[in-house]
Amino acid sequence: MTALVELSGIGRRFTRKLDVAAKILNLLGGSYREQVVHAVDGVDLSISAGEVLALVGESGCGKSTLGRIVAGILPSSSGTMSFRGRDVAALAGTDRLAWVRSIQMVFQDPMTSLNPRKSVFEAISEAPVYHRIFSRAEAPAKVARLLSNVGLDPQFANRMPHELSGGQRQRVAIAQALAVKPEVLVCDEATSALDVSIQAQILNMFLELKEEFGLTYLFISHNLGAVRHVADRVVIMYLGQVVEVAPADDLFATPHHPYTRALLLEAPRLERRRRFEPIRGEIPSPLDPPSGCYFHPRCPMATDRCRTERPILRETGGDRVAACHYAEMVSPPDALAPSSEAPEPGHMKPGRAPLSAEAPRSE
Amino acid sequence: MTAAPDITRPPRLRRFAADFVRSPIAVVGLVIFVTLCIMAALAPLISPQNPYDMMTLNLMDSRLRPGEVGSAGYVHLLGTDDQGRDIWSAIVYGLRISLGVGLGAGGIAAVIGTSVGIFAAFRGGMVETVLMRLVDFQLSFPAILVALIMLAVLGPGVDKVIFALVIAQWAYFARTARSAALVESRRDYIAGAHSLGLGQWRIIFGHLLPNSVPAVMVIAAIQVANAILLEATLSFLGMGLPVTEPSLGMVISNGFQHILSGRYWMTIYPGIALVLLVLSLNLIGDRLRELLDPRKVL
Repeated sequence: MTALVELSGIGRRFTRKLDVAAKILNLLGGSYREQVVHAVDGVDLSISAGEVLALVGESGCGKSTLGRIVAGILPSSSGTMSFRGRDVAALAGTDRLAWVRSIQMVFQDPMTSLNPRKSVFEAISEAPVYHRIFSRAEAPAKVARLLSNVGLDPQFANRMPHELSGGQRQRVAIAQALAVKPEVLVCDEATSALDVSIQAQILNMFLELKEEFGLTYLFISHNLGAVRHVADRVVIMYLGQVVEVAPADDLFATPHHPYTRALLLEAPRLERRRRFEPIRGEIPSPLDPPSGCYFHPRCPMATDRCRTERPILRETGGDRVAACHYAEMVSPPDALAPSSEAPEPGHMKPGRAPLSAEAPRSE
Repeated sequence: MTAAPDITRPPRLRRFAADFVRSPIAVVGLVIFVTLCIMAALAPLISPQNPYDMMTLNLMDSRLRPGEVGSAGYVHLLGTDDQGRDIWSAIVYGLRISLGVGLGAGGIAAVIGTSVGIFAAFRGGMVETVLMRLVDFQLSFPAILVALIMLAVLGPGVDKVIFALVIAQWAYFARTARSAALVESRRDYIAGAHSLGLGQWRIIFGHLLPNSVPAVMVIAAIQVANAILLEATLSFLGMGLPVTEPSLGMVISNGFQHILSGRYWMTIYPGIALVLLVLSLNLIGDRLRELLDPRKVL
């Protein structure tokens, strides 16, 4: 597999600038300082053509920011990103447009991801007509085709967004993205605002569209059930940094980072009843991250080394990387849990595993 | 492949009109406003006298009560003022000036202010800071003061009054348009439009502007009414329009000297005309705001 999108050292800072009053007070001996948040901090990542790469983490860990950087909506403040081997910062004119179009985004909230003033037809046909992918005269037929691709009746073309349900809007948003013939679809929590019954339908549609359009996905989610259903590889993020990357089935069976393990333990499941075991403590403030390993205040395995030395991402065998000093010592998520008769998820084929509590099948 | 289904645009204007008339109070406003506009347009036909033509005035007719017959042989429906000017004629011609100045100044201010506001919101950074500090600076003065200063410098004249009112009012539009556009530009569909590779002008005019219009609409209705009131105030104060082109404000001002001597008609009737004009604009503006919000359940 070749790398379609390659990120190296990508970072995104958000700075709260000093206002004039603070600057003047500083001149008079005040000590106001700019506050900097590293929403995304030195991420190296490659997305291969045709794969489904899941990006998982708690809210506020920077996964949406990273998704927007990949989609070209937000500029990164450091690092380089290349698309098909070319640095996107150096692209200009039609080359740049081709890159921007090639990576499309599906947003979390379908209530705000469609222009409320444009009909479904206008929403889907605007960009491709603008880019001359098809002509205005061809548009009705093309739009009808795209609508049926996403499982909507072509009659929906006349509707306005406020006349559609959340699931229907999300389908329209996907059709809108597909209309410009993208290669990569960044799905930012694309199912989490939907009814659970609709979530499964949309997820399965993503898989069908992947085959039909030869798409590559960056699938951002905090829903491990959905991730297990669709992902080939999983990236775990914590406080703006990547802490583990692994093929999906390996990751679910044997996490190499204590944070991954904690996430797996937290995920609600139907198979067995067990005590809910939340991750200890709060996410540290990204304004003032902890020393050493960012996860050490919440980590059950933390040692003195973790408090002082920040672990780097290192290979831990079998196509996997993890940022933990003790990656090899992390126990599987089921080791501590009471044994049960239910089959463990790791034993199933990940791509076809039935969805658990988050998304019951409804087709 | 089957034939493409019939995808047509809904007849928007017609639907819009149908929705508009569903509010009785808005229809009343519209009827009043249209009537006043027609009256203004047909001024020479429906008024017995040209109040600007000094030759038609007769001092013998001054201060006639409503309904009395003057020397020219016709009934002065609403009486005359102290120079023998027919009040009804003065109102009709005054409406012309007031409407023209109000719509002209309000419209120009809306275009300039909205453009500045949306541009500031879209560009952000230094451009936004500079433009918005300018707006703050402007808004820290009362509009009437700005207009008075402008007119003191420029001198009288319809074009100068419009210019002064635009200077006094654009900042209100800029501030409203910017905040509306800021809210919209944070929404995902704008990010999506960037991602789809649409050009910045397409995003501004096709996405940001149409969604910022409802907020601007409310301000526009109020500001056109305000422009009319401001102009009336300026005329009342004796600034602005030349005496030969009396607007409603000047007619009211002329009669004002006599209100305590019981000659109410010189002030009350033009006053009513002004109130009706401003009120009808506000009613229409309210309804437009409701209709232009697509999320509103009608």
